[in-house]
Amino acid sequence: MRRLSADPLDVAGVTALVRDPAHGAVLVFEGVARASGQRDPAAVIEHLDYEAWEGPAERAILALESETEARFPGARVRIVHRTGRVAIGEPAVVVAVGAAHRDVAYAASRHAIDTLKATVPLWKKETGADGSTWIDNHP
Amino acid sequence: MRITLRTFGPLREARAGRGVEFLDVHEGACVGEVVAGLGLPEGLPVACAVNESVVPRATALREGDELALLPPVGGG
Repeated sequence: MRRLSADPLDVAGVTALVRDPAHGAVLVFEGVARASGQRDPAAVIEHLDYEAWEGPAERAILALESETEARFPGARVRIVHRTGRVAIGEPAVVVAVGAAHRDVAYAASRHAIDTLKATVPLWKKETGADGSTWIDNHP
Repeated sequence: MRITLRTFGPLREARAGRGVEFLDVHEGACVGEVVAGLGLPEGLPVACAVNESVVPRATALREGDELALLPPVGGG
């Protein structure tokens, strides 16, 4: 399965990859395109566009899955991120985690999405009535 | 010598949307010299990668290298 997708994400399909008879917890995080601006919550956003450094981003997501599974033994993690135009309400990223118990699933999910946002070479542009703005995750 | 320049997001737009360009630079040019000559938007921190590894600005470039300019990421 490719970790970058120009097509709408198959949330159920990604989730199925982390189901296992040993997993009592299956946790799915969707990062969804929001109608309000990240910098200006009053701004009305019409869509997002994502751009990736394709090869390195794909490999960074694979490495993040492996690193998260090593950090949280027993967890299985699968991550898929959109590229191109994402409509409001559609998921831009799906992080699916399966684990024996919920504590590990929550911790692994949080680690994976936080690390993705800080490190994977992806760029996001918000477009609304007032024009377009590139939005980064730099604190 | 000739190198490949890759830009992304706001830097790609600042380069007229090209994304991938070929640049002729002098022998032994370093990353910082090439970046300084591009007239990029000010105030945007930019990381530089040569052949997919992030490097310091003093890194010397070689014929055929791919220099990627990476603005702060915005995934998720």
